[in-house]
Amino acid sequence: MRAVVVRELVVIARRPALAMVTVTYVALLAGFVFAWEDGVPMPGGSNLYEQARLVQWGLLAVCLPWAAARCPALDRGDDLVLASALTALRPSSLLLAKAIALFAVLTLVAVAGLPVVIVAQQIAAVSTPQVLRDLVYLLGLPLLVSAVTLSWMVVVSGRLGAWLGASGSVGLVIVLLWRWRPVGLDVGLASALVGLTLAVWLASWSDRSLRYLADRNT
Amino acid sequence: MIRTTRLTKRFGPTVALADIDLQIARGECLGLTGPNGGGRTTLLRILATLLRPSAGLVEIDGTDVVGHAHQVRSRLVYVGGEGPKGDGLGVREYLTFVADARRARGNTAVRPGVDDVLDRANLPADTSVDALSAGLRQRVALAAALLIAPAVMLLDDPFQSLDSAARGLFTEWLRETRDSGTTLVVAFNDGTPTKTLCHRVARLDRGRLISDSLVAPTELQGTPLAALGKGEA
Repeated sequence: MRAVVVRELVVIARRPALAMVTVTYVALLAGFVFAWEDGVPMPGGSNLYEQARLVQWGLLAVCLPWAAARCPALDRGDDLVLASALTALRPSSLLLAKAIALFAVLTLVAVAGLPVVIVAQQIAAVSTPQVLRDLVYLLGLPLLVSAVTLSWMVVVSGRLGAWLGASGSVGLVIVLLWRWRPVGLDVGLASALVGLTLAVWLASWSDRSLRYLADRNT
Repeated sequence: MIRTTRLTKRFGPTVALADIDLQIARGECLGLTGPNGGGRTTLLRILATLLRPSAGLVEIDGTDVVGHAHQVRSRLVYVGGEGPKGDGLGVREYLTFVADARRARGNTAVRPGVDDVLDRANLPADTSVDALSAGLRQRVALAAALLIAPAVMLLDDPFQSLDSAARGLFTEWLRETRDSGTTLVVAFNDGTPTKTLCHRVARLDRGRLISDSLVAPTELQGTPLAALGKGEA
């Protein structure tokens, strides 16, 4: 499986979209922190750090599904079956490897905004442990996006469909989690749990459904 | 090594294979010929665990390919008409990926190194796989299969896009692989010379096995079938 993770990382790293989305996300986040230093009225924002965190979630919820749909190798259906035969790995292992690589890359994108967040923390005089805790919870979002986008990539053909499906699904999950706030759970942690659950389902489904090529006469 | 018993495959009302009984010994090369639609590709894909048979039994080394598809896959490689999927990888990167993936599965038989294979197959190491011509992509697919060096190689019209020099090169390479103990099942279009590589030639027509005959030792190059020990089948 390590070989597949490495291959996916190489494929993703070569896509110009990755650099583009990282620069866009960091620039917009920095623009918010530096241009609206005094803070604009936002629901739930009590200080600049809280507002920046809200903006960061919003930006990542838009940017990450686009990068996730744009960057990885587009494997679905028969392609996955043939890849499974070539590598002698189960489809679930292939998808898990892709998810790990995608999660790693999306995490790097999310963490790229950390310097800006630290500036906001300094301005708002928020404690460092809170920033670290929020950073850990933020990693739930790349996990959710990885699982959701890969699921859409397996289900629909083409990157456009995967992006639209992933954007809608991730947005819906985040809004629902933000509104309902599951008891005792941060939104990031809840997102991670949803992502893990989806990844387990995807792995189980792929081993059942992607054992054979589509049954058509050659 | 490979045994099919009353193997049948239907696609809806169409019978693609009907009651195919075959036995192929370790180190043997079986050529499959016949007209288009005869069932060669379907048979190879069932042996490669890529299609599920409608009826009958298929065993490789005594293992049922339907019940233990993933276990069987680590012992074989299939080269079809799809061509390798590069996803932006260069030829060297692609071959390294294939070798690493198979090594990780405990396939210690990955014998030649990537550089040796690149040299012998005369492939451009740093060119993107996706940018190659059909013939070069076919070379990459065959090179990857030979790099894996599995117990069973299933090749669907492997020389289709190759020029005559490449055909000669890969025929010789496959002959060496066969003589080192790898079992080959190779589908050819009618008219493609099979007799220098294959010990036996079976002909499929409309899903039925029409003939299954040995190649005369005088025509075959390399180890004759009699030296293989047919009892392993």
